[in-house]
Amino acid sequence: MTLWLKKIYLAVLEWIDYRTGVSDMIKDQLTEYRVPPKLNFWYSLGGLSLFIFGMQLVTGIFLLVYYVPSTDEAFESVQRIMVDIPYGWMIRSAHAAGSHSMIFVVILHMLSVLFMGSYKKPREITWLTGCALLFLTLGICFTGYLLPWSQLSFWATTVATNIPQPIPVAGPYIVRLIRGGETINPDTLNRFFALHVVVIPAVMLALAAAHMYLIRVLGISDPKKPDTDSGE
Amino acid sequence: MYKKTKYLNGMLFYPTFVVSDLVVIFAFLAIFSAGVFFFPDLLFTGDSEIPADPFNTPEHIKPEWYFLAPYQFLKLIPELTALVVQTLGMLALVFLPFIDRSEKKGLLRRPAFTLIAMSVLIFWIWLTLWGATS
Repeated sequence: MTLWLKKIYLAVLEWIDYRTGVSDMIKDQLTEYRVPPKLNFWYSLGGLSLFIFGMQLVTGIFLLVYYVPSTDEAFESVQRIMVDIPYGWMIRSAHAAGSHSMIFVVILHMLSVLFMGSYKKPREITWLTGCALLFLTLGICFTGYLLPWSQLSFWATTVATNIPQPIPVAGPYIVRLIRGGETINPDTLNRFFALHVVVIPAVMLALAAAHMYLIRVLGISDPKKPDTDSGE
Repeated sequence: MYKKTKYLNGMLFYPTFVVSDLVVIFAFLAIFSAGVFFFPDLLFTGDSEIPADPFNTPEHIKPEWYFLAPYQFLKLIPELTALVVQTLGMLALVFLPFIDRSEKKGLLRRPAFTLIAMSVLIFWIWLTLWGATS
């Protein structure tokens, strides 16, 4: 790089740094942030879950461009994505495979935390946010399942939403609340769509941020010092 | 406030841990792309290719693999009992850090926990396999 170009580059960096403190943040969070030595494979599963979640957001936004959330057009619009839209099949297939992968990886992540005892004091709240994230992951898969409005979507959701029925007194009301009616109907599709594309992803983003903030505040649980991880 | 351990000789988050994370991510992507590109229709078969028809119930309705265990469990014992047991199980999992208050983390140092957790896990896998093959 010629000298004057380098000068401009450094001046721009300094201008930004003076106003944002970004270089300190990079030092604290990346280049001078030290974690316990020799973290194993299991410690990468949280990052992998986050990566898959990001992938689901991207493929989901692409699908959202062509998907029509109405009982008359949903199935047709999905067929159009699969056949007419360039690479639509790839995006939909990746979104579906991504949902299975995410549940699988999130469950593995939870099992590793469970068996390594990382949920113990002082990481109780990290565990609670993690549990909430697992349930929301299951919820986002469940609500997304109905959206293609196929026979599989319709009847799998019918059977699943019927599960609270045997609860005394409240059962039938819970079923009605989930379905927005006596049976699966256009309103069910609308509320599942809203939950799937806005409510659950937004809550998940916030919880994932809290989850990572807590990991950063408390430090990573050390696999080498399983019983002496209680201070400096 | 809890004082976290400062690993002065620890591994650097960037680049060491980030790179090892990327290795796992790329290994995942390799398997994932194999699925997406070689078997793009694997997840879209049978009833998912027919438009929803509220007046025509398909013969075999089965949930996805991750819901198979709770679904099979509902068939195993009376439904209400199964719901109560599963709800209590979920609550126990969520509030585990407040139930299991020992500071021991090694699996062999807390045999009761290991035994219970392993049994539940094996039962869950067994229910899933049973549901998948029935």
